[in-house]
Amino acid sequence: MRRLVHMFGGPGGLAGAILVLLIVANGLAAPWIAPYNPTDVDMINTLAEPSPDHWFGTDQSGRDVLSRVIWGGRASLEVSALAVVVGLAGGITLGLLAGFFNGGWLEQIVMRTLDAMAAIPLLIWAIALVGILGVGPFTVLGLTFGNEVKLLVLLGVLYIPTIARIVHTGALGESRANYVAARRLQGVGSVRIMVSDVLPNCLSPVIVQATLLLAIGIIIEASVSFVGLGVQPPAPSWGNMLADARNYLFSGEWWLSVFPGAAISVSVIAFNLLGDGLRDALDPRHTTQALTA
Amino acid sequence: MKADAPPLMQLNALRKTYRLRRTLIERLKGVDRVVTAVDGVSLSIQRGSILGLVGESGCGKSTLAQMLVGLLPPTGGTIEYDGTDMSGLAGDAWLNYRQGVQMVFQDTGSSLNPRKRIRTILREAVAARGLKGDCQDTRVAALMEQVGLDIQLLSRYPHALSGGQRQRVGIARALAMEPSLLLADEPVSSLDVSLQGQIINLLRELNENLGLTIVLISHDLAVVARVCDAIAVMYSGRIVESGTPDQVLTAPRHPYTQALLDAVPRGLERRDRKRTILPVESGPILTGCKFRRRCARAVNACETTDPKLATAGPGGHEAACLMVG
Amino acid sequence: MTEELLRIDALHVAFGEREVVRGVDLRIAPGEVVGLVGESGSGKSMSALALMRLLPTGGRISSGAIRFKGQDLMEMPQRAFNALRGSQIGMIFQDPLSALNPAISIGRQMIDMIRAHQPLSHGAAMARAEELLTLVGIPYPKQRLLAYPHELSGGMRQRVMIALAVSCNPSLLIADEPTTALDVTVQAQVMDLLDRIRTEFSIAILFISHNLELVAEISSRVIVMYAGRIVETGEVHDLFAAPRHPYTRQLLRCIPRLDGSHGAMPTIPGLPPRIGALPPGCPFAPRCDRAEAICHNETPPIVWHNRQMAVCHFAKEAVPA
Repeated sequence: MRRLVHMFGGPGGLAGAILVLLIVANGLAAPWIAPYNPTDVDMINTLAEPSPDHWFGTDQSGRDVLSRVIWGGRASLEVSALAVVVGLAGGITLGLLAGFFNGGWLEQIVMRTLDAMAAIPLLIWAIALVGILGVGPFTVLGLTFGNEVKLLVLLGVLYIPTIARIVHTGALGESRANYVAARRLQGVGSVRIMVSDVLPNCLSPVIVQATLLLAIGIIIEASVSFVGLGVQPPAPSWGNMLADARNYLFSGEWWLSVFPGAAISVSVIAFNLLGDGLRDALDPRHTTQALTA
Repeated sequence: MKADAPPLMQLNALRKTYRLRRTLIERLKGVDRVVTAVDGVSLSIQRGSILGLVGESGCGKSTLAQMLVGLLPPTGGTIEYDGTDMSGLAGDAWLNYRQGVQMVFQDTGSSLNPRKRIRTILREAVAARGLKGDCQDTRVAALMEQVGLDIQLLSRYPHALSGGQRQRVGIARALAMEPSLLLADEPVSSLDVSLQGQIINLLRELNENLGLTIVLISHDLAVVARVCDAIAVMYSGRIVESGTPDQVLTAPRHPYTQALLDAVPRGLERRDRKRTILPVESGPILTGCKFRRRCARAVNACETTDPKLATAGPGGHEAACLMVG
Repeated sequence: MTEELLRIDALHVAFGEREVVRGVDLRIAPGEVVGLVGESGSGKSMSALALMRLLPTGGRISSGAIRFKGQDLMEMPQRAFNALRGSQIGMIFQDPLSALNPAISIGRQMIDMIRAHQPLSHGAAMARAEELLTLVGIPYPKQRLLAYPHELSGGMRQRVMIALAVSCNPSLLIADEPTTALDVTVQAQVMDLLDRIRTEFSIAILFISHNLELVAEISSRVIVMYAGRIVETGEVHDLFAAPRHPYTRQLLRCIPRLDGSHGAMPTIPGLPPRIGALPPGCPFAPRCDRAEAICHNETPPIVWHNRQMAVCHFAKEAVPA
């Protein structure tokens, strides 16, 4: 237990890790744990209070809120996780190149472009672009994607500057380390050195940042779905559930807003706790081994 | 010195300048701001010898070292390795040069990748030399033995090794390339006194047993005097004195070498000796001798005439000072 | 000793379970220069940091007593200690760059330091700062007050540190490897300066270094540490002329000298013991050329010979170095 706490940088980090694990498990197991189909309409049982049959009650169309929260979590997680993957792929590649070939034109072009990108507010971009591209599924190369794919790709692209800057700073330092010079003297190519020597040494802060971006992703997904540009009804998402609940805020049907709202808060807190914990755990000063070295 | 045999490496008027970042006005005016780190160094490195390169931080010895191993391209001058100019090398010939000239670093902390086990570090090195499969492990074990390390350390990470052990791993990694020249940049300055001798002796053994040519960069004159066959003293990007240890250190001709020797702490022998303290360096010097403002023997001619390395004594002893000769 | 400026008794410093300093006794008389020698991990720096309450996170004094001018430093409240540190005890480090604030000019830092301990006006403090920079041999002191730490060379920065350390006329200066990061000619300048400061201010110095030559140059008394303990102390002449601990002896032999000798360098075989994994008996026994069976089993006794002390089973045998 002490080792586990240590691994996640303290009790907060461990709590975050456990919650994140539950959230991920929930997302993966949604088809099996959701008691009802989230889109099944039951017009007889609309706006039912929480009861043994419907733990979280039902909504205006009689759909089971618990099932919708579970499936909504899956959608949120999908969007934010895939966005982070896109951000990592782009950010690591660009940051690594700019940091490794520092002092050259490549670094200047990459970093200045990223600066320009980072100067634009994230959320407004996402909303504006989905608005411009239009809501609804789209087809690329014969494959049809849901509307949320637009969102996740956009989010991912907008994450790139953040990730790239972190990798750039790390790679800048590492590329000047003597072990990199030693690899060069062995006649090893730049790409090989970048991937096998430099990259692993600058990943720690990236992992922390990726965790925090997951939390941001959940909020953005919810916000964008709330204004109707993200996950499209009738498919559930925490954001569009809150949007539906708007109409019932003052009429007493509290379960419509409280449960998806709580789900968002808990997940964001969980990812933040995990991120902060990992930041501590991955800090080289965290271990006492440095003393004897 | 064995002057008749061709040298393993010959440096001819090697230069390295850096352009500083200019302000917009300077750019418009076309003004160039240039710093000269290495200012026309000519030097022969004899096959099988140990050459000591002495000088203070900022004198250009590290820049020179980086040019020798091919990590930095020279701005001017040539490096001849084994009789061929290295600037035109490409492909296999370049790889041959690159692997043939290896380096041991000062900072044992950053010279090994912290995330790789010693085994991985050495395996990568022998793999770069073209060894495959089981041959790799045999070679790695042989290298560990050669540098006096227990093969049990192979499964450790660098941080779990002491500074001396890490330096030995660094030497083993260089040896994996089967180099003909090893450049050791302050290899013992980060180590404790009781361990310095071990590393220096290891380098000596490699020189004697394998005929490995070594360039030893050090600020410790006593160490250099003890193991080197030849010494070159650098100041402000130039070689100001060169010769055998006996010539340079027992009969120094350049005032800087004399000051350097005088500055070596020798509290154990002569506690109450009065030594000359060099004045503080003040700004760059563009004309004449670079050392003149700190030199007690400077005369008017030193301000205008740039001293060239010239014979200062018998047996190849050279110094760059107007007052010599 | 009749008069004591600093007195440390049986100091123990530990990081968790690992003891890095295991019973250090130290006395410094006013105006005396004491050299503290040892390799990395010997506990020499940790002793000084413990004294200054500057131990890295996780480190603590597990037992011992520290008295400065008769005051108990261990019991002293932090506020009183802060006033003492800086005004009565100055400290200089190996790396002056990390000890100076990179974002604040030299002058500003000096004036703040001076005014924190002395009731001076801004103008008077500035004049004092300029005077101090002149004292430590910095050319153009007025202009240098406006400079930032990174604009100065390593030697210049160390001079600024010395100026800061002596700004309030302290009676003790702790110098922890003050010249290790410097070039030999600059090292000579700084050593010269320290020597001058000592005579001018009649300040006591605890000079910590791994370099025996340097220690021998400036100290009157020397303490040799190994694996967290003092193994030998004595007057500088006696100790280096006739060391009674084999570690001192072997260490002296290792120092490369400019005496025209060639060939293999003398070494001490093996490695210093790991903290927390000390061998039984004498910690130096595995590397010692004089060790016998008793050394590996029994803790060596403290043996005094005139004013020289050595912790060794064979300390009675004085062997010339």
